[in-house]
Amino acid sequence: MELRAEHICHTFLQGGQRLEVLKEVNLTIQGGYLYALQGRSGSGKTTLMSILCGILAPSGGTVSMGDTVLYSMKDSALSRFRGAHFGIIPQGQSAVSTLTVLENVMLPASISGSCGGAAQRARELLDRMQISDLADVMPGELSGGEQRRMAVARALMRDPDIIFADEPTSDLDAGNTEAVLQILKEEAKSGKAVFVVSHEDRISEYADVKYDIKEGRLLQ
Amino acid sequence: MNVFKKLPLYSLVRRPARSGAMLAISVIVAFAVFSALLMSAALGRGMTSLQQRLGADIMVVPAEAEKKAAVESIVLQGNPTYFYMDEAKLGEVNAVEGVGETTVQLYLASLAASCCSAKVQLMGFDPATDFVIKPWVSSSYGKELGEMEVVAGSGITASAGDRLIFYDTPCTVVAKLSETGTNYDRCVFAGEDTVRVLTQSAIGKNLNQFRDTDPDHVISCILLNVEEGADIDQVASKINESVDGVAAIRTRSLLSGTARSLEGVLGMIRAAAVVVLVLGAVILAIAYAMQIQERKREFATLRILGVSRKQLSAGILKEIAVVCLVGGAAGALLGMLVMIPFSGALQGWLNMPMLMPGIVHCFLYLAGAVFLCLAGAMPACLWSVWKVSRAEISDSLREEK
Ligand SMILES: Nc1ncnc2c1ncn2[C@@H]1O[C@H](COP(=O)(O)OP(=O)(O)OP(=O)(O)O)[C@@H](O)[C@H]1O
Ligand SMILES: [Mg+2]
Repeated sequence: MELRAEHICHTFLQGGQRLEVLKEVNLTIQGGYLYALQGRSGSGKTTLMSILCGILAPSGGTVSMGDTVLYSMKDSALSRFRGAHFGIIPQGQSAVSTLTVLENVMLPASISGSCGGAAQRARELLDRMQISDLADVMPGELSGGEQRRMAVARALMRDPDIIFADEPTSDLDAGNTEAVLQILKEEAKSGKAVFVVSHEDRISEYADVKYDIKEGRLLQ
Repeated sequence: MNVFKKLPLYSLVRRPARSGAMLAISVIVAFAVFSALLMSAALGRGMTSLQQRLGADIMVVPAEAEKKAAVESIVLQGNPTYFYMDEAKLGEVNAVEGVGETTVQLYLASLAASCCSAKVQLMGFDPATDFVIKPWVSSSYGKELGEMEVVAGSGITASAGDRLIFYDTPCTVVAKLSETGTNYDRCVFAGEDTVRVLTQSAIGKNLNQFRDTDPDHVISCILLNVEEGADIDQVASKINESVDGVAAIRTRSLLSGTARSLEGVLGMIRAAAVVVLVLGAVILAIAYAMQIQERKREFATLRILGVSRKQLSAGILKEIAVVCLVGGAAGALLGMLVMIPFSGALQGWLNMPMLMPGIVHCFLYLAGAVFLCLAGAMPACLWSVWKVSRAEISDSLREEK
């Protein structure tokens, strides 16, 4: 399992002006490693992660996994692929507010149509995130840290090949930050690829590969 | 349990305020559309049933009766009255070229006085020749009407077996007629002979203004159909020319005023329903556009988890459809609960024949109203749904984190 991003460039139109956020980015992500992506605010971290995880087609370049070229697929195929291979934790709050915590975690399995044992697995994940007592609570009642851990549990639900996390610890205290990074590290050790965008200095202790993004280019 | 499939339902049930507002709109739309459908049907049926009761091409009445608009008084206003002409007129009319089958009727009005059970229109028909009243009567009473036997219109407060007294002469109600939604519902029908007896009683009590008439030799009107191929207008003018003292009226022209105001009322009802439907669809479209905008992040989250554009659109449309179906059915049921009990009042208020359709038809109109509600609202919401399903996921996530 290997995700390859080649010659990625991306340009936004911002107030009529072309903003070249990414220029010639090449990157390979492999299972068993935790990758950290750092950079100033507005440097393009979220943009690059979005392109890698199949939710933003780049202006140029290709993203592929094995024989599959992500953005040459039709939407339905790409969506299915994303659900099956990627666990995505977006920046900020991302709970479906009309579902309980447990239902939110079960959601990826339901979307794929394989609900068998989903509740059981979701409870195990909540247990691992130490929020099993919140299973039947609506997400609106959770703290920022609890919401984030719910999102991590949900990303792990379908046992993905790659976990993408955009600032997963941004609004967490030291204890929660430690816990979330520890879990992501464990996932990397178990053979998944983990790609983390973070401002956090502590990420250095956990990262196997560190990237910096500056003026649209990736520095190792 | 498939959480994803249940998501549209949860979105509705777990956000009662949000879905309640949407439901209220579809209830109002369906109520208006259903009421309009039901009213149109009832008015249309009322008109048809009035035409059937006047199921002859031409009505021949005494000339002065036509001048006094006595015929319209009976048929359209429901005011009991009577008028007479010599029965010899029947022979003269029969002799006119183009006249086909004919039958006679004899009218009498009872009084709201102690001699009578109620003030009603009495209509006597000739069982041997009648082709207008008899088919209707036989649908409720299979036998021939005997002497002093009457059938009552559905609006008369008497049931089969009851006695009604007219000019101190008792009659037996043998059957009640089915509802027509017209003034015929407030008439009592009998054989011509029975009405002659009652007329005699009225004259005997000095209660009839035609005191010097001989009830045995008068009739009130002649109903006739023209021969096949004959022109109704021509036959009518020939009767007017060659028979003295009578007026031949086309029954259609008798109804043309009613038909015209019916068209006016129908037009108004339908226009109002279309306005409500369009307005409701626009309001729903705006409400959903706002709601969808507000829930962009939720939808983007679903997309991240593997939901395709098609699945997303289908989910949102399902939510809207459930609201339209539930709200629509509730609105139409409400319409039924309001319209059916008050149909009598409406009929009086509009002063038009009105005949409510049967319950099976009511439910068909309910289905029609719900369908129209769906057909109005769904396309109006399609654009917002399409737009959010096409939105760039990363853009949607960027908004209001
Ligand atoms: N849809 C868009 N339209 C126009 N400009 C955009 C769009 N998305 C991002 N940008 C711009 O692209 C640049 C990179 O944005 P991006 O979100 O990738 O930065 P980031 O490194 O993730 O920042 P942060 O650390 O604050 O999350 C920013 O200058 C941003 O304003
Ligand atoms: Mg970012």
